[in-house]
Amino acid sequence: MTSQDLTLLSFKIGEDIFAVDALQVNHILEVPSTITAVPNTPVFMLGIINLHGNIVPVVDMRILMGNEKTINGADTSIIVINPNAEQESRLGLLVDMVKEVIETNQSELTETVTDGKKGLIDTFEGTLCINEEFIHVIDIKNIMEVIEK
Amino acid sequence: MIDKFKAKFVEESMDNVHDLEEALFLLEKDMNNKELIERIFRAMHSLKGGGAMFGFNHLSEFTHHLETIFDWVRGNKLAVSTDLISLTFSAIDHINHLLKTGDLTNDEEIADQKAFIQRVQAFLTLTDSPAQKAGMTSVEASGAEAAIATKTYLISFIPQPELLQNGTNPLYLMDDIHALGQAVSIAYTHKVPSLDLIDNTSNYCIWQILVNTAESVNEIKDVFIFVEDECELHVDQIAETNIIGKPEINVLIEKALQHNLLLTPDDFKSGDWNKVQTKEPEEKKKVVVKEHKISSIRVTSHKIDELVTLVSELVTIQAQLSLYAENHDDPVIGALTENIQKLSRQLRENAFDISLIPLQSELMRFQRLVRDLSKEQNKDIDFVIEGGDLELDKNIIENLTDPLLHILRNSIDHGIELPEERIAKGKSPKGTILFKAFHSGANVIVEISDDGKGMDTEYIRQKAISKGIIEADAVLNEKEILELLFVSGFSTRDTVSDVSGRGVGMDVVRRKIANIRGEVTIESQVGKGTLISIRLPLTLSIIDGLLVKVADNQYVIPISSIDKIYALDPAQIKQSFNNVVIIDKEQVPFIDLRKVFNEPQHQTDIVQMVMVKSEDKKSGVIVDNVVGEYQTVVKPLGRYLKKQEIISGASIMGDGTISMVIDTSRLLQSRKNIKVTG
Repeated sequence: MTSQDLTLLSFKIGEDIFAVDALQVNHILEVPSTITAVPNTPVFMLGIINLHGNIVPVVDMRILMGNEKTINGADTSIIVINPNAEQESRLGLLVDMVKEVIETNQSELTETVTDGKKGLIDTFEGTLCINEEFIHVIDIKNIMEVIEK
Repeated sequence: MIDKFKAKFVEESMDNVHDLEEALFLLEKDMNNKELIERIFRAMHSLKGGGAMFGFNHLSEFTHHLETIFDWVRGNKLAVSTDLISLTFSAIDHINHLLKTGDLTNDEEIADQKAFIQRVQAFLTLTDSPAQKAGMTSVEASGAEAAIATKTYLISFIPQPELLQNGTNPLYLMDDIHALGQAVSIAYTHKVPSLDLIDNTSNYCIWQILVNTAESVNEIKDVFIFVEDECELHVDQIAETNIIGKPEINVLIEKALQHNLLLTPDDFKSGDWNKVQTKEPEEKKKVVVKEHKISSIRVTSHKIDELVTLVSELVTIQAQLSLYAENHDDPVIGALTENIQKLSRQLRENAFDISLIPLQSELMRFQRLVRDLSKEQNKDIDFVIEGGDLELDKNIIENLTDPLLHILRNSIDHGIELPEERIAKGKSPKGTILFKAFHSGANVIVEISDDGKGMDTEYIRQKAISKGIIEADAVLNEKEILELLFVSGFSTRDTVSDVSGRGVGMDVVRRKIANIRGEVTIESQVGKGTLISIRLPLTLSIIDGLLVKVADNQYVIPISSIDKIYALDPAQIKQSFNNVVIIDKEQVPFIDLRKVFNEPQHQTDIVQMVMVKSEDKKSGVIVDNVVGEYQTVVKPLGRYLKKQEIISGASIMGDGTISMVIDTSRLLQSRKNIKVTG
């Protein structure tokens, strides 16, 4: 079991560290000067951006995770994921800070403990412990479901 | 590799099946048309041959039997009958199934096919007495008899280098020719390059074959049916008798091979074996012309989609360039931009033209539905098509088929009455369904009308009341009542069956049509019939729009739905308790986009009102101000914003900012209080 079968991109929301499957990540962008707000959408839906001529909706991961503090700083970034490589599934995730790429094993993941009270995301792929830091791996499918609801 | 060929075969076969179906429809109306019978036979023949070549053995076996039938028909041994046509129609369904699934593996299906083949064969035994049923003259038959005397033909088969790349083995073709009668083949190999230059996937050989056979020129050409497009083919009759093996002929062949000069029909003229020169040169010319001309090519729809996307992007970039040129006072850039603008407009028009396909391609399915359903329900229906050659964006056609099938099914099920009923009402026993497509401005209109019993508005009203859609004392005019058919929940899912009331799932039809930015309306008169009209845009991805501003955002309203623009004082809106303003002494209902989009109230001195119409509704739409007219590429918002119904897409402006495209019919539908103008 030496081969590394899982590549993750980790990022920070508040003081917590999360990660997504790096293979689903398309771009990492700075927050553009304007995000066009779409009327009558939930608070977490920030709006749409123009990514090389295509429209990509952006959601605020801080709100999805139940954080109240949503002030953009110098490190605030948008991670654009492209699940199933479908154009229409492209989605920008606004996070406080993008950290690093982690190579690891599926077997290293342990079950994520959630109380299901905070935020809208309640299922995770698992939790990874590196240097006494917990990294919660986000289930992209779950995010998609939550947003589409 | 072989899968690729298989896919190509299936695709081509679908065309063949399509052709077959079309010919069959025509044959049904004109049962003695030789040309059609020939066309059907050829389609069957191609399916059989191709099927065997690409491992569709069941298909090949099945079509073989059908081919036999039509061989008999064209040989006047069997007459065309309604039964035969019905059988062939169901056979086409089976062929479609076989093409989709490949060889059958399920025992039950194999048994079904066997039973089917027996039915086909029954036809052959049933009518053993030749030609008598249809009352055909036996002159043609005896003419065929006389042709049994063999003739000698010269076949020149000049394949293109690509011949082998389709998996064709020319030697098999030679074998097929030899099977027709006594034959000598001559292979010219002078074009074969030296070994180091040989490309082993190319063909370098040319063949000429002398064949003595009783078969016709067409029969000989049939052998080459699969390679028609990859070769030059001449079949010339050179003698009325068998001349193969005569010493003079052998000399000619020898000479041709030595000089690498192909034999021509003229070489054989001098011989005393030939007294009558019958073959007119005209036919030869025709063949040559046909094979040199490639008037159309087959491209995967994926490639076209990609082209259209690229062109759309180009249009966007070009808009950015125009904006830059406007802001920088440089005459050179200005001129260049103008040229690019012209070019990209032409390119865009071309690209969209390519993605248009004729409506005709889908009509066959409709004809089929009408035919099958009316037979099933013992109704006599004349399905008339007008404007079938009209072209529409392929994405629109794809999304249009299901709603249209639904509407047609409704017309047959509930519109057209049984012949007895019709006679009792003083109508002709034969009902008519008219399918009409035509251009109207930037739109295409598809109308389906029937002369059936029409819709009983009182019945619809009662039903709507019982479903709780309207109050029992609601006062509605006829148009408003018909509009109820489109309300979801009017016909609930559990009543969707062949015998349910008219108006089944019309809400679904409207939704599907709305997805392709179309609109549906109904007109109906009890006893006279029903007309359903669908208005569609020409293409999906580019629209002419009016750019407007609401709070911080820009929105695009499609020009096609705009009537007029007025300037208003915001106070007028605030005063109105029922969202109506008075313009030219008329009450005009309005929708304030700031309110719809939950933006703060207007602070400006003046607002503008855009009069928008959709279907029968008309309403003012209040915006902050109108920016201008723009031609824009509409991009989808993706799956996450699907619930946002009023906004159907977004478009990227020249400066890279985004404006959202408003779906006017949804916007107007979102406000129930808008009065329908009658």
